[in-house]
Amino acid sequence: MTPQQVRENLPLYADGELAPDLARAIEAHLAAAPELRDELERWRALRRCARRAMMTPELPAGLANAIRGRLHRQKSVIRRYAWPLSGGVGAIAAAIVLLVLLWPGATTVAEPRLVSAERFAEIYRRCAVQHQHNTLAGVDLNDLDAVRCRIASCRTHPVLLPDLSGRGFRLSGVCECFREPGVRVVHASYRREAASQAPGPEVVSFFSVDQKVNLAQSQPLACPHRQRGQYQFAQFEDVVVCKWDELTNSFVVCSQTEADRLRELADEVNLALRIPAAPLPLAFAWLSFVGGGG
Amino acid sequence: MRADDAKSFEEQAVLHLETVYRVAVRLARDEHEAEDLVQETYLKAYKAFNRFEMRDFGIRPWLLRILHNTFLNRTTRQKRAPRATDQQALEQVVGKESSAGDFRGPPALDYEHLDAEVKAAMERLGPEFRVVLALWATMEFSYQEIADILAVPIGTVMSRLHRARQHMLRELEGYAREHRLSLGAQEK
Repeated sequence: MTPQQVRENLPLYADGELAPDLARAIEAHLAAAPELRDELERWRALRRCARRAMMTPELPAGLANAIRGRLHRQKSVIRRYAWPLSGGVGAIAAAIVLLVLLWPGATTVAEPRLVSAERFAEIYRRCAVQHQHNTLAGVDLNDLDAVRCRIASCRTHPVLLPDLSGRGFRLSGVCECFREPGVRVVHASYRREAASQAPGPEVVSFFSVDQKVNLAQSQPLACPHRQRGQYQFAQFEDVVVCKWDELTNSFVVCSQTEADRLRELADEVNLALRIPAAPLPLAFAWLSFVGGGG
Repeated sequence: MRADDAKSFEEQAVLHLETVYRVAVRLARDEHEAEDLVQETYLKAYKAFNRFEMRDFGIRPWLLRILHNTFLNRTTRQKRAPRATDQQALEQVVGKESSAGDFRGPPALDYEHLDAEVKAAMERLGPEFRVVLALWATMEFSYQEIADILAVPIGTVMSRLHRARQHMLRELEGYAREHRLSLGAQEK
């Protein structure tokens, strides 16, 4: 890579948009050139400056209420025209739900979607380590309950975030940069507390997936402390990815550490899921999942 | 729309009001017009919520896409003069200077105190560039997400962002020279 190419790629690197191999090449140049590091910092400063410039003017105080008012007026218009249909549609919908629930084999779960394990490693590198993404503006990340409430308020699927403070980690960011069609993933990154003396990695990523998925490019591994299933493990250079399923969801942890250490961490992740002793129909299992989550 | 859907829409959509408003202000360059734009966006989104196309990616990109389309429709309706509204207009501003190989990095300035200048530089860009810059500046969207919101290829996002940033840097250099500020390494 020529010096000119390195400079032209710096803004993309600052934005976390370079492919891993190119990013590593840039990092090699950065390590050797303090002036490049200064330039990189200026690109980042320019973006921060643009962000601050976006912050004015303030959101008008009455705008939210004005919008709510218009939505409520719109609601009443829609309701006035929609109610004659709603009874019939509701009855048909109820019949369909009953039919689906009572149909033999109705609780059979579709084959889990296959997701590339490397994408989890990429998000770990980009969002957790490099850019420390956090889209939860104004929420105290030390208050996990507040974080969970905020996420629950804008998600239609349950998102479970573990408390890793017992392992010396605090939540440092939440984002949804992991994109996979048909799959909703919330990514939470955790950083080691400054005072923590426990051995282990500095940064850990945790992914809450809204359905069961299987990791492509992974190996199965025994899951000693979980009641069912097993882990899937994959490693990309120094980043290890570990996935397991609980009820109808998958969870992934990811870090730059040894596989055994990550498995220990995964073993200890407590999502407070109530797993029933005997298999229940899917609908009941889901209810117990939602009830126990968080 | 069912009552649950309506409630769900309100709960989800109003959370993103601030982001939508900020992007609207950058697009419209006028606070009152931005408010109108945001209200129209939310009303359209509410009516179309049961056809919500980007459910997998969350409601915010979808709201921003509606905002952008609403803005473009209004601009077309009002038949505004094409004052810096397209790629060609930007060419007129920076095209002659931004030939290949003329890449520049950010000058060594104190970016902690240049918010007003950066804002002014953003506002002198055409809307297609402003919206990319605004979405980029929120620091919450990847290039691919910006491309999804604007329904353009990712290459278009990268090209617009590159050109818009180069334009901003030129403006900042001009400002620095005008105010006799040191440009650091850029002067050498």
